[in-house]
Amino acid sequence: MCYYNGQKVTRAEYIRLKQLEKALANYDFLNCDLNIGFDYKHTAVLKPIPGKEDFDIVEMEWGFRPHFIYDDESLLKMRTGGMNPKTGKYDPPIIMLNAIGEELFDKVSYKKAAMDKRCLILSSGFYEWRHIFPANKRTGLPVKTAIKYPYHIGVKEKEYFYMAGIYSEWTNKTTGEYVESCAIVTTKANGLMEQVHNSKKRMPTILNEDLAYEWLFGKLDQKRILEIAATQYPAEEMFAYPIAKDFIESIEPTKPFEYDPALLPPLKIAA
Amino acid sequence: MDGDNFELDFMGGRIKVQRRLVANQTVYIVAFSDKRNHLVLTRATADNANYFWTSVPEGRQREAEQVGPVIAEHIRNNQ
Repeated sequence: MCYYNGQKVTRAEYIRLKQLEKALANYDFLNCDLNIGFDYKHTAVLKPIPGKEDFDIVEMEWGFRPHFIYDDESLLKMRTGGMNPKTGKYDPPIIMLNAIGEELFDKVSYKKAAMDKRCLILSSGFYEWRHIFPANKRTGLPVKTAIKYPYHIGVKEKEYFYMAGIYSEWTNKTTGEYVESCAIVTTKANGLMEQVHNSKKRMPTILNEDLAYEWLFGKLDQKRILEIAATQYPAEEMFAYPIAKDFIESIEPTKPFEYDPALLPPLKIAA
Repeated sequence: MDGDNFELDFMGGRIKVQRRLVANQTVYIVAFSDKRNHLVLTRATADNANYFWTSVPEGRQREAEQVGPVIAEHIRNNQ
């Protein structure tokens, strides 16, 4: 006999319920090849249950809502930027899709979340643009404006993997609406990612099972949080391949696309 | 609301319920009006062959036992 939720069930029923769990984990919001951060859509997140070594799989808005933002109007201003009537100057947009791991405790927005509200963001793969500067036909020098090629990146032999995340529990002070939102923690690019995301040389902090467990449930001090946030997943365990430039509109965004190798040289480390 | 979505009174508030087929099994996804996360419910069979409501994944059995009978009553009344 087995127990499910404290109820005595047959082994067959236990397996059925566990299979249902797994099916649900892949259901709906997990079954999505492409999540464009700038759409501020919802993403699948593992959120710890306080006081337990257990978690809920929930949907959160990808795009951290900091505690000091008052309502939707001020949130929109933060995200889109614009002229500041008080200063008469242009405020650039503040995008909080990603949180730089090394700076988690330097930012007012992220400090508390890094200590108390860590989560894992489930991913089946992500996208980055590789910048290529071909030689100018006349001068032979690299052109100034890069040609960008999109890549799909993931972890070999893993349908899903974990990215370190932080989340906020935000309440709209005007309407009372409650929103959970998250940011993906990033680290310095590994040998593969520094070739792909060669403009910024950053990558998401991808965690193996042990580190994911520690990030989610561990009672960690600042030093350890920063150590885990700086994790570089091994390049040799990841893959990256080019995809079509119109992948965002494609029904198969992860489909490989072959470019002329003269235009897009192969990566030095690739699957 | 349509047949797969309905709202019910529950403990002095309202809940929104979606009935979905996942892996050929019926589950009910319950949205509360408070801060709680969505609850996914299904009917399971105990080893004594009796049915019970349970949360999927595990961990919210008490809520499942509270909400499940309310959903069952709604289904009975609308058959």
